[in-house]
Amino acid sequence: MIDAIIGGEVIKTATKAIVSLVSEARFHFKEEGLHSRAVDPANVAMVIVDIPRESFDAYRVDEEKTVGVDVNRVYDILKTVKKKDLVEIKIEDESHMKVKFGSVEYTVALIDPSAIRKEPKIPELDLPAKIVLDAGEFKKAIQAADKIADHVIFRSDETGFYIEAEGDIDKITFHMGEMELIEFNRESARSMFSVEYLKEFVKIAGSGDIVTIHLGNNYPVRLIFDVADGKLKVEYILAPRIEAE
Amino acid sequence: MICAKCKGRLLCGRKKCPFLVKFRFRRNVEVGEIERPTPPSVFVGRIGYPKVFAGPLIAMDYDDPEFLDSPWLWKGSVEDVMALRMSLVRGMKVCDVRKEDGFVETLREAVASIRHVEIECGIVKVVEKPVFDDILQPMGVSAKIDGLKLIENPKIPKKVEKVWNDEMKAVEGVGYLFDSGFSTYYIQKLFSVGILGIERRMVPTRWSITAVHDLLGESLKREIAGFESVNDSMLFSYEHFGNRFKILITPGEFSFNLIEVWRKGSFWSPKSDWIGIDSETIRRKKRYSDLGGGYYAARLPVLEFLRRIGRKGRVFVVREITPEYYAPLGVWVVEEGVRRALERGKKVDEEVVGGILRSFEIQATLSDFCRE
Repeated sequence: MIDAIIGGEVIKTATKAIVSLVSEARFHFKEEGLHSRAVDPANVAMVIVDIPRESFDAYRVDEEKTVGVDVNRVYDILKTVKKKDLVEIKIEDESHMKVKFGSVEYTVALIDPSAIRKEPKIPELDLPAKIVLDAGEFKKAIQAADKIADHVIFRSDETGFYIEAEGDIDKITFHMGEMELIEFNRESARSMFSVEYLKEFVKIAGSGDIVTIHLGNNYPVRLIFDVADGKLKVEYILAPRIEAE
Repeated sequence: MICAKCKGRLLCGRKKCPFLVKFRFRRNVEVGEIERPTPPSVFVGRIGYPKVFAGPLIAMDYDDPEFLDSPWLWKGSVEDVMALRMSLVRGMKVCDVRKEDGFVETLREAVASIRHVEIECGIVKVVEKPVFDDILQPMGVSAKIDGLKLIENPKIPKKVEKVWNDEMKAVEGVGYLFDSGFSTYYIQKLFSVGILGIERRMVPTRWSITAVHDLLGESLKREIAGFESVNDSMLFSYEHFGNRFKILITPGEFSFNLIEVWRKGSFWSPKSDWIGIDSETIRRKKRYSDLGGGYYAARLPVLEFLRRIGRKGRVFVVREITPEYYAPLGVWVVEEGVRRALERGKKVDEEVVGGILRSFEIQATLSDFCRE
């Protein structure tokens, strides 16, 4: 028996983060909170969602449990939930999950977890640069880049952090120096990424949220978003595009 | 306009004047009643949509009408295809794509047939205007018609009747018929006259061709997504009608990349060489390709091939268009070219392929970075 109550914004954002890559995922209800992770079918990006126990208004897990959820459907339903609404998630047996908000009770069949694509190993990554900035600013940069190009370069050196995109006749440079960044270790790194993925990732972020970027050289990037007043941690790992020699 | 000034002296740099060639093969048609076969073939225009010109293509003098609409059998030169197609008269009548009247029903029955059908109709007016199009196959003169009748029974396959009568979505109908082994050309015709789908409406032929390529392509992509990658690189090639195809498939996640090289003097690029590229990953392609309908026509046979071998991979298709292709014949040139290339493939040396690949930019996957 699982019975948890959580703020509407937290659960809505968590499911939104997952549906940016996959439509079904395994939810692990653990002692310390809810954990889920998945890779997209092309194996290019991974999403890791963690809602710690403290972020729930109530959290009762009699026994740690893993269930398979059609996240697409659940997210569709949760779209109508307001930020401040409370949502109750209840699993009484293996077969169904109940999602209650206001006077609505939504019941959805669970999926056999073994029928969902195997969960990825989290790659061990050696990423020298650490950049922390306002997620809203980051979102603006990605959305602007999307207008002109299908890939962007993330670059950092002692002068700051850069996002660069080049179209056929135009280009965009986003630059933040040490003073504007929340945290920065001045390390040099450079990798190129597909905007198609990034623009999906930034959808969960708003102004005031924080994103932590771990960047390497022609290496996957880790983007850690602290959203919903810090109650939710969403981490994305995205494989780079490797340039011509 | 240079053509008016030049009058066939080839000032444009093309190898032959498409207008003159077309004129030479043109058949004369006169006002009056005719009884002739349709291969079957149909044309639905797009100008004035939703009120468009639609009607059968009528074979004026040919003893094998089916051949006139069977691109997979065509061989030879651009001129040979033009000669074939010019013997087809485009019958047309103004139709609202949403309206179903006797004319539309008759047209549907004729088009659903897998053998040629003798038809009878009145020719009201002859319109002489050249039709050149990158997606469509060429056609002869146009004629306004009325009183369309079939004078023999069409031969309609059971599976087509099923799709026609059942409430089946267009996308499901297209997939069902394709998996049953019907050619894309036949499915496109059915799609165009509005036999597929719950809300039946006619679709301009030009749109229907790309729509069918795209629907089938996207659904095949979902099928191959879970396959293992090819083990070794493969290289294929084929050339017809002045179009040279080279296809390279290398190990990795699925991606499709089309590179088009229009050599100086080919139809759309008389003055200089032109190179265009477009690509996609396993995700649904969002925007219509800058390379036009040929992009989707090239992608489909590649996906068919991958499904047949049960593998996925990174696919690069290079289409080089030479001046021999001085008049556009339609996207079937691409679809058949790629299909034929893949049917006679050969493996190549890994090192050679590695060398070619280094000039591309590649999306890495997470497994490239996982330590075992």
